[in-house]
Amino acid sequence: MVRFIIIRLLQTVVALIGIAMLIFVLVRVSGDPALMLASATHTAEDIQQIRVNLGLDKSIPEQFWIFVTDVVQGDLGESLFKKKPVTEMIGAALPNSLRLIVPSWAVAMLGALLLGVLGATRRDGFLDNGVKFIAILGQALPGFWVAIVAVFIFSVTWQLLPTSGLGGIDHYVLPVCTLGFFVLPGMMRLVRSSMLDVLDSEYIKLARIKGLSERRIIWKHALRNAVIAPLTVAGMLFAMLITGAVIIETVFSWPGIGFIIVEGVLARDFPLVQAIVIMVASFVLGINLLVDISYAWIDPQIRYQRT
Amino acid sequence: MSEIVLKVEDLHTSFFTRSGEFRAVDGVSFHVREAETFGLVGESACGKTVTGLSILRLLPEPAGKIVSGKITLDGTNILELSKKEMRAYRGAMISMILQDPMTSLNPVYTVGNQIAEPVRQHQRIQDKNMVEEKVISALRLLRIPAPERRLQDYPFQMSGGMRQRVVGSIAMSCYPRLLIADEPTTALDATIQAQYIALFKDVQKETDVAIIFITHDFGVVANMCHRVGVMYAGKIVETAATSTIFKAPRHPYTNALIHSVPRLDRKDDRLYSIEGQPPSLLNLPPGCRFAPRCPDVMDICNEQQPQEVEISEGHSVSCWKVK
Repeated sequence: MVRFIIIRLLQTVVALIGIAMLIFVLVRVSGDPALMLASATHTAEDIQQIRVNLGLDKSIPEQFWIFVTDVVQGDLGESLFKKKPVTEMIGAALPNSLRLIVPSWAVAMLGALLLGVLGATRRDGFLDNGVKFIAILGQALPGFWVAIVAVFIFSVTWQLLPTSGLGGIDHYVLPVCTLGFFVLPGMMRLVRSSMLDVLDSEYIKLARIKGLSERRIIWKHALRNAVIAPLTVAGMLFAMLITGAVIIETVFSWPGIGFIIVEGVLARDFPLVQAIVIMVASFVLGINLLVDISYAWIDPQIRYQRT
Repeated sequence: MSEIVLKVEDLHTSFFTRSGEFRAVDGVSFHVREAETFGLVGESACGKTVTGLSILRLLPEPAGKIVSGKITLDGTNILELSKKEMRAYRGAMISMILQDPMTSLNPVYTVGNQIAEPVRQHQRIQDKNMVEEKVISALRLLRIPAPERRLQDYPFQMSGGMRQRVVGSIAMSCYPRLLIADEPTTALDATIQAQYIALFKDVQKETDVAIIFITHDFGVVANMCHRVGVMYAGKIVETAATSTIFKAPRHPYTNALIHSVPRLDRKDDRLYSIEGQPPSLLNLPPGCRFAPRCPDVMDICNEQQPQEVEISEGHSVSCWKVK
């Protein structure tokens, strides 16, 4: 198990270095921030001077080396426009995003698990058909549209919930539900089909032969086997929520990461975009690592493999 | 003679599907005594397994239903039990061993955990050490070496033969009155098969359990069973002691089946096989079900179903040829 974790950890670090290089090159081919910083009165020499000041005149490998040595020392650079360290900007926005993403993910996963299992065990019943209908809706409707319609119904028409911004519990209801609705249906369908497969297996038949109660069969024998496949996806869905949050944060004016990365990309704020992408990437990689470890915990066959 | 544990009388089990009613079991009667092994023999889809599942009342829902008949275990008609009462019978009074040991154990729980479940459920033992003791004695009953060290093992760490012994331990953990073994040796290789059968004979001697042994292998029948019922298209066509079945089969189907077993003491160029296919259970012929394939078919065979006739004690045949 320890060996397994160490190997996965090393793989994670390699992936992270790769992502850093990629984003570093990609932002640099997207345009020239010196042109954005300069005003109409600046001459070509002035613009060149801005590039020299920002260190953009050096070759890309050289810039990357400087960037890496800074990062290792905990310095992710300074926003070109806000003139603030990007860590400070991220530090202010990240908790807001997490406050949105974590509950959305938890609600969606728990909901998907429950509805998926209920759908599978009451196959083709009233509940199952309802569950299937929700799944189709959720996968067909775009997130921003659901968010806007929800705001229209619950905030504008019925005036039950606030339209936007941070605040008390009531401010969370709409953003969390709309963001969760983004990933719930896919997960639910996965749990349902995985559960149906497992319920059809011989060891479930044997569990019935043993005289166990149906509840025990479903929640002990079937569930643990049925969540192995959806678990990997659950991690990936968390990553999807980070991107999904960009849209939902914009709709609900939620001052999170999604909000500032949109600004950063539009302004070609290299350090800010780089920092956010690397941070999100390490987040996603970290989640995948956790998924793999929990995978090994649930499925003993992986735990005992000598990889 | 020892007492009768299970009595099945005129059992009819059908599957109701969109294309109609499949009469998988159509009027089956037999009994099994204490410490006796009754073999149910026949080709695939003749209703052997459905008979076994009917006794456990675990037919695939909602299609499978017991239409009529009576199944008595130690004098109780189990078809009249409530769902909850029936669950208390399963694993405690009646057990079953499934065909494939590679798939019949739950891959994510330890062997010890899986054997302990019926013990906890049916004997209401909560004390950890007492449960463990019961589990170890169940493993020991099936001759699993070093049972104490096996408790924490997962199924994938064991060989097929060992796993099938674990499945046997689960079945025997509460010392049931009746064990239904559904082709338990089919998935094992030949040497392990022989061991497993010898093992079950020992287990039966120690526990007096009544066994229904479902198989299509006459070699296994000869080794394991005291009496045999030969099934064809949902009916038992001949019932007799094993020696009688081999020496003096009276039903043409039994005869043909025995002839289809390859033999070492004869040099045949080709293995005998029965012409044709069993009838569709959806559209059964009015007469004898074997008539279309029978070498000795007469006019009456195609018109009316033959009744079961007891030609000598314990030997019954359903055939117009036998009077």
